Formats: sequence, C-alpha cells, structure tokens
Amino acid sequence: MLRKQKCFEALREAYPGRRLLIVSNTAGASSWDRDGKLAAEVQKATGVAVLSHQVKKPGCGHEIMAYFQKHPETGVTGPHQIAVVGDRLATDMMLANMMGSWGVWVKDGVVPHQQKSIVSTMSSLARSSSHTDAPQFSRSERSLAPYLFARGLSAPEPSSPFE
Amino acid sequence: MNLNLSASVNIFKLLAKPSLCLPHATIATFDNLPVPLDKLFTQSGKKTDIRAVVLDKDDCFAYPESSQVYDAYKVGRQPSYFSSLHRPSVFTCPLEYMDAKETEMFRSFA
Repeated sequence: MLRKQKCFEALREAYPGRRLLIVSNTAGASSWDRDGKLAAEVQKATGVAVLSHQVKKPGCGHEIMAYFQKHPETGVTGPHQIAVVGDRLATDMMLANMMGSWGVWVKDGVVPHQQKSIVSTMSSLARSSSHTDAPQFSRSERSLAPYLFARGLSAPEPSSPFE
Repeated sequence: MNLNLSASVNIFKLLAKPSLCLPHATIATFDNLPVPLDKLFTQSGKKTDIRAVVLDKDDCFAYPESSQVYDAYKVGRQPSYFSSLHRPSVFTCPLEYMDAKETEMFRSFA
C-alpha cells in the first residue's frame, strides 16, 4: 500500500518541541541575519525553533550545547544524543564531528545533483551570488566523502561519557 | 557577502584530520530521512540514543534562501528509507568527480 509520508511533519512529531532545532549559516547567524528577521521568518514558516548564534557552522557546537543545556526538557545530556542533518561536509558534518555528535549527510540537497548540474546550475549560481557560500565548492565537496571513505577513513564515533 | 570565518579557521583542523568532514550516515535527499533517526544506525549494528536533531536549512529541507519547507517535503512521497541509504563502503568512482588540484591536495593530507 502506498503511504504518503509527510517527512518534515514526521520529523517534528518524532522530535517535538525544542528537540528539533534549525541551525543555519544564514537565518539566525548573527553576522548575516543581524536583526533576526530571517530566523523569525523561518521559525514562523516551519514551526521549529531557529538557533540564534554568533559563530557559524562548523564552529558553533558550544552554542548548540548551551541551547540544549538551557532546555533540559529535551532530555539531552551529552552531544552523543544529538544528530546533525545537513548537505554540507565542511560545515554540517564537521560540526557534528567537532561536537561529538552523529552526522547525517543529505548528499543531494533539495535538487538532485544530476538535475542541479544540467538544469539549474545557472539559476543556482545566480541565486547564490548575493550570499556566496561558494556553490562551486559545495559541489566539488561532494566528491570528498567517497574519496576519503575509499581510503579507509571514517567519521570519529561519538561515545557516551558514561560508557 | 556571507563570509564564514568559522569555516576558514577550521579548514586547518580539517586538513590535519580529514575524517572530521565525514558523515556517520548518508541519505540521498531529505525525504529519505527515517524517524526515529536511530534507524539509520541500527542497520550497521550501532546502538544510538538520539534525543534531539539539529537541522540545516538551505538546500536541506528548504530551497537556498527560502524560509519555507520545500513543497515536496511537506507533501512527501512514499518512504524508501533503506533502499536509498548509502553505506559509506559502497561509494564508487570518487576520483572521477574530483579535479586534479583537489585530488593532489587531499593526497598529500589524507
């Protein structure tokens, strides 16, 4: 039986309240979103809290941990109970590893890579030009993970401090 | 311009330890994310206790620079979690997608 799954809703249900947190290098990043207008907009549109942070990813691990410490109802007592989901290796996955959390890489982003390179390269370049997060870099970055895996490297495993 | 000082500083950490940019699990697109997320790891025999999720926005669940959840992810599609999970070990032809300069750079550091 085909079952429609509302994936964003399902995630919100599985991680209710403050257990789901949006950490973006645009919305909520104090150097980019100075007045917090973008963060408020995203929060309103998604119903999910957006972290207001000084340091960008990958360096804002301490701000994320401070957030969960401030909200003990989330049940988070250590970084090994957190998963970071994102499309960037050098920001999202590195943040996860520097925090001692689990990293889940969304390899293809919103638009599948193949489609991105053929259909929407120009439009995404045009879109990114205003706040360059180096689209060329994020694309070539994708190949880094398979390359490093092939060389036998793997992400450092988060461990519970009590084990 | 949205400069990322944090990423620039941490590039040295990454060069010293390239595994810092590697994921523990890989999915193709956001709608392949299983709930609870622990399902991603039980497959490989790892026991996790994930209580909270930190979510990236741009090009993850939203189009870059959009505040909305990408339409298809609101409506969703039939879940195909495990069929589209990529185990790190099955990644193929990594070098073909890397230009010569990058390959050289990471050969010397990896």
